[in-house]
Amino acid sequence: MMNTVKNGTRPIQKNQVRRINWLRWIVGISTGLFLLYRIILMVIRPTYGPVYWLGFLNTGLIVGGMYSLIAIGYTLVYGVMSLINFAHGDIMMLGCFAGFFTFEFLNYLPSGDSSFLNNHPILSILFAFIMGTGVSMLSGYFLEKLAYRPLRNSKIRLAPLISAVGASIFLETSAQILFGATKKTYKNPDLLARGSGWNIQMDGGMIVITKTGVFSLLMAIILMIALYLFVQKTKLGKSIRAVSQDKMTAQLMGINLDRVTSQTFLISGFLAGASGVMWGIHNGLFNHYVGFLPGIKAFTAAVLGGIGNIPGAMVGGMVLGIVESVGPAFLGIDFQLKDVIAFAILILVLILKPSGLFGKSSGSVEKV
Amino acid sequence: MMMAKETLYVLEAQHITINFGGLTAVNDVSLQVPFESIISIIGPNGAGKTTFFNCISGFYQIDGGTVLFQERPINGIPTDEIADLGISRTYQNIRLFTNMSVMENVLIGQQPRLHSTCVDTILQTYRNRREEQQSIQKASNLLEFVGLSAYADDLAKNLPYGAQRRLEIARALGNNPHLLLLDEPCAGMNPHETAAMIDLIRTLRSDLKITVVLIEHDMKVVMNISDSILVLDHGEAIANGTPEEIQKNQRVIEAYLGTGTDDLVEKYSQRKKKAAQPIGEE
Amino acid sequence: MKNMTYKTIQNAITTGIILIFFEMIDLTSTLAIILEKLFTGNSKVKTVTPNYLIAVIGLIVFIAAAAFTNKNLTPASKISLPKKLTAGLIFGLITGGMLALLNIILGNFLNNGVDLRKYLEVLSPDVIRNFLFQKDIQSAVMIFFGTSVAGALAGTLVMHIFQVTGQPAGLWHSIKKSYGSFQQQQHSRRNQLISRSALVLLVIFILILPLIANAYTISVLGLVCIYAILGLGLNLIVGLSGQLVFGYVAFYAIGAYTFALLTAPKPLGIQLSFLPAFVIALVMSGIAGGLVGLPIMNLRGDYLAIVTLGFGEIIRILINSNNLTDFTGGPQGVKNIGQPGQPAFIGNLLGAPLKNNVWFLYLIFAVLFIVIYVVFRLQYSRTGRSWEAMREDETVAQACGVTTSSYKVLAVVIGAVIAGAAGAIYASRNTYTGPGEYVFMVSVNVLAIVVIGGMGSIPGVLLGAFIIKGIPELLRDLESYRMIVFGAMLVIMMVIRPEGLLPVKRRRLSVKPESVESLKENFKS
Repeated sequence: MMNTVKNGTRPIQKNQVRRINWLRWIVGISTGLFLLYRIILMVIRPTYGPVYWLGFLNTGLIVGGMYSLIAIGYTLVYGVMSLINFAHGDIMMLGCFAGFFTFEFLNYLPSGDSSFLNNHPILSILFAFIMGTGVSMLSGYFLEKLAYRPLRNSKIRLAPLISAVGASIFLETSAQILFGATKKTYKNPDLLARGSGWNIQMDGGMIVITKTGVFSLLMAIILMIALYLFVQKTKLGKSIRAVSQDKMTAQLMGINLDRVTSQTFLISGFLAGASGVMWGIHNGLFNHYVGFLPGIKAFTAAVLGGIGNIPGAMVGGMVLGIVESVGPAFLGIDFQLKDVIAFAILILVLILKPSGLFGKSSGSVEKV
Repeated sequence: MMMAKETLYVLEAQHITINFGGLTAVNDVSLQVPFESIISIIGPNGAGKTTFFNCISGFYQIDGGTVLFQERPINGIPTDEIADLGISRTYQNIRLFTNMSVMENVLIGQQPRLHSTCVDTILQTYRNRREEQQSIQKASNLLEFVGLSAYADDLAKNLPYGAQRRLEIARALGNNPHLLLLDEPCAGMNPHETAAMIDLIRTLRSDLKITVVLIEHDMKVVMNISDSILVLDHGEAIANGTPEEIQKNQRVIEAYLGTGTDDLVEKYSQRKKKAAQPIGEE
Repeated sequence: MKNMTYKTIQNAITTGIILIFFEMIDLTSTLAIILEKLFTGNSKVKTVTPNYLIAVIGLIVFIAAAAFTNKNLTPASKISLPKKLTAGLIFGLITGGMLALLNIILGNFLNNGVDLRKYLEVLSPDVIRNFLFQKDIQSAVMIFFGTSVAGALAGTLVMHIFQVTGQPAGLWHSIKKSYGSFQQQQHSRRNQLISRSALVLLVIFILILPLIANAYTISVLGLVCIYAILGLGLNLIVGLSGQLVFGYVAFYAIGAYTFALLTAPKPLGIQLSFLPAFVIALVMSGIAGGLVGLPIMNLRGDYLAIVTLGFGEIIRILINSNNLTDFTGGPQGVKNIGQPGQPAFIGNLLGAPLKNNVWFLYLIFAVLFIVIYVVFRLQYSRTGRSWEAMREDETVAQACGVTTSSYKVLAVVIGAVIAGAAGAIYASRNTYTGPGEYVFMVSVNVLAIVVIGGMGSIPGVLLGAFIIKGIPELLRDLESYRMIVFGAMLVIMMVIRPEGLLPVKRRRLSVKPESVESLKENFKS
């Protein structure tokens, strides 16, 4: 009689799976075959020596760290509000600007024989991070209050997302008019001068490991560990996790939804601001548009890791960064097209495994 | 002999089992629904009644057992195809298309019976116009049948509560169903409205020859209209029979009135054990 | 009372921040110029006159204070006039103080010869001098305080008088009521007749318009109509089927580039004539819609938004890529795109052939009408109802028999085809197209058209296209602030009026019911 209990997993709607299966198979197999072909080609007729690959990996890790930080912001907000915070990239942009202004100010500030910036580089960097994260946290906080909170119980499902796009456009164009559309250059302290670093000689070439890159990667890793501990150990972190599991129950357990949402935006703003400053320090050139592409790519990273899943976002960001920098060489296409790779990955993930690498099972069964 | 017996059933659920994580929400429940009968499913809250409905109407994929609709297995078929086969349902918490008019709601219900494509629509072919006209006429008839003609052009969200329940039924009738699943059709109604609803369900059977399976808490309704009753408790079928039999059944009385807290705790722990049994042991 | 003080301060600070923001992006001066143009009727005003700047600042404070009074110091709260005026005074002082502080800082920078333009682009010395009203800092501060306090007091007072006499509330109410009845006018047959004849008149007017308008109006009208077509297509996806598409520009670009490459001499040199190229453009964008639609057809939520956004970026990067210059023209774009020839009979009929731009405008009108017809037919049919049901409640729609996955793809495909039509027309109209025209902002513009007009509403889209594309062309001074306004408008519309300016109307469908017998017959078959 009891031949029925096959497994203990949550049932998924088979219809969804069945209808997409043929598409999934076709895309999956052809992608796999293509990748295999490229690998074989790379082994038989290598166009790049190992030193290049290490170089790409180096670039990828650095960018990936920043993507991870931004992606965590998306994932946190998505968990709590089920909203793609489209303006997240622009919050990062504001952080980037704040860091820039801090450095400029400290550069003008005389201290001893030279500027404050070069006399107290570590303090300067700290100030820049405080300002960058502070501005981003504030803007995230007010963004939520003004643009998202009134829409939380909106009858129109798309309302919050449209509002998010509006906020994003508003922030971006405001920055454009305020600060001008020309590209600006970060004034790093000499300690972290761009381009300086260590050259590692290998046969076939050398790898340049820049100080800014090492700094960014270390910063990103430290922040990610801190955030992970924060979310796992503190009361607020637990409330955030509880709310993303089940809003109603969390409220019944005495969690103040408004407060948790605000605090989530503060945290995600903090991470976005930090990555904005890191972006500026590492890449130097930036303008009001700086947040747009990293924002979308970080969202891709969040989807890749399974949206709503914090470790997933971290890994997803790293993976995306690496794939993006290794990809063009691997696929033998122009480096101009590296952005295409990120979006192609997004589409592939959504076809092949919509729940992401670490996500919970998708096709959520709605209670009826 | 076997064949003759099987064709009597419009729906046959055999040993339905469904798990949510470690929890077995419905465990080995079987139900036979003869043609043109009214079957009730009762049970305390959380007994798995709605989950059972969801299994039949294709919302959940069952982990074990078979659902046969007119002798055809319908496991794992998408909900829209199930609607096409002729199973309709209503929902416990009313789910209408609130920003659409009452007529449009009923027209949506006819979706599986309409065949004009979007090209027909754009070109306004004869087929499209005829079909549209017929479906509007049918929707009006259905609204008259459930007594909502007066509301036909109002927004669904502006209807009073009882009328919304009736509208759900009208919508469910759009695809000429053979089987209608009603999830608590009388919930929250006053005695007057309840009586009207009982009448409506009876006419469904007598006039439209529809088989009805309903979940209901109101014992007056259940005992009044059911041919047969299935009692679920904690996901298991504890009784199945005519209203008279059920009224006398000791286990049903226990399930409803309880036998004290200790028993309950014991029962829960037993279920836990059952759920924790190793996979594929049987 | 303490609460009231707190609220006053909060509102005053908000107003101050808004004013500071306006000053930093130099919107205040632009408004002052517009005000002066309106007031003097002189359309050649280029520089700001201090008096008008003061008027604009005063007006903004006035409106803010009046709104504050209306919202917080209601008659119901029984606050006496002196107290209200005190609140107004505090309001004005705080706002004025914030503005004064900003300008003291800016003035000092100016006097010390610091050029702020390196960091804050618009704040050139001229602009700062304007904000100091061409005077020294002290007098400017006095003027700021004076203007702000006067504006706030006047606002409070006027609102108080209105509250006492009950005038504006009544007026507001009647406006709202008439707007509401305008919304539901279709219920009587006579109104239907009126609206039908109004529609016919409107169509005749639109048909005559190109013949009497000047070249500039024709070009603006053409752009508005193209965006109306785009809006109708996106409206079908977002408004009806409830799927959010951010990368709508991708289909527009595909339509435009397909058409351009098929008709232009370079880079492919195919040089098809208008009609086959147009049809192929539609097909191509439809295929692209299908390609985007298929992966997401079983996903719920907002994935479609980002996937299409990514798709839009891919398309833009590809057409911008140097590697593909041989196929797409690369960053230089495609020149000499073909235009449809004018049939000879028009020339015979009118005596002389139409001017090229007029003829093309008629062509755009024709496409627009066809698109309106198609969308209208779809909306009020089985297909449109299924889309709407899907938007309302996807799970239940599917359980009612709507094959949601195919309907989703269908919506995206049809929307993409419409966008392709708009793109082809646009490319042909300009005879040039380049990657710079297919940026994300186009998608945002179209989304704003749909949202502002009213999701799912055809008249709404037409109105939205006029507001988004027409008004900025008419108010050229505000050109650079357009996107800021759109962004803010998207948020504000969602918060205040999510259903849009002209929300969709439900049609009366019911007919006289037949007997139960016919229903029984129906069920037997």
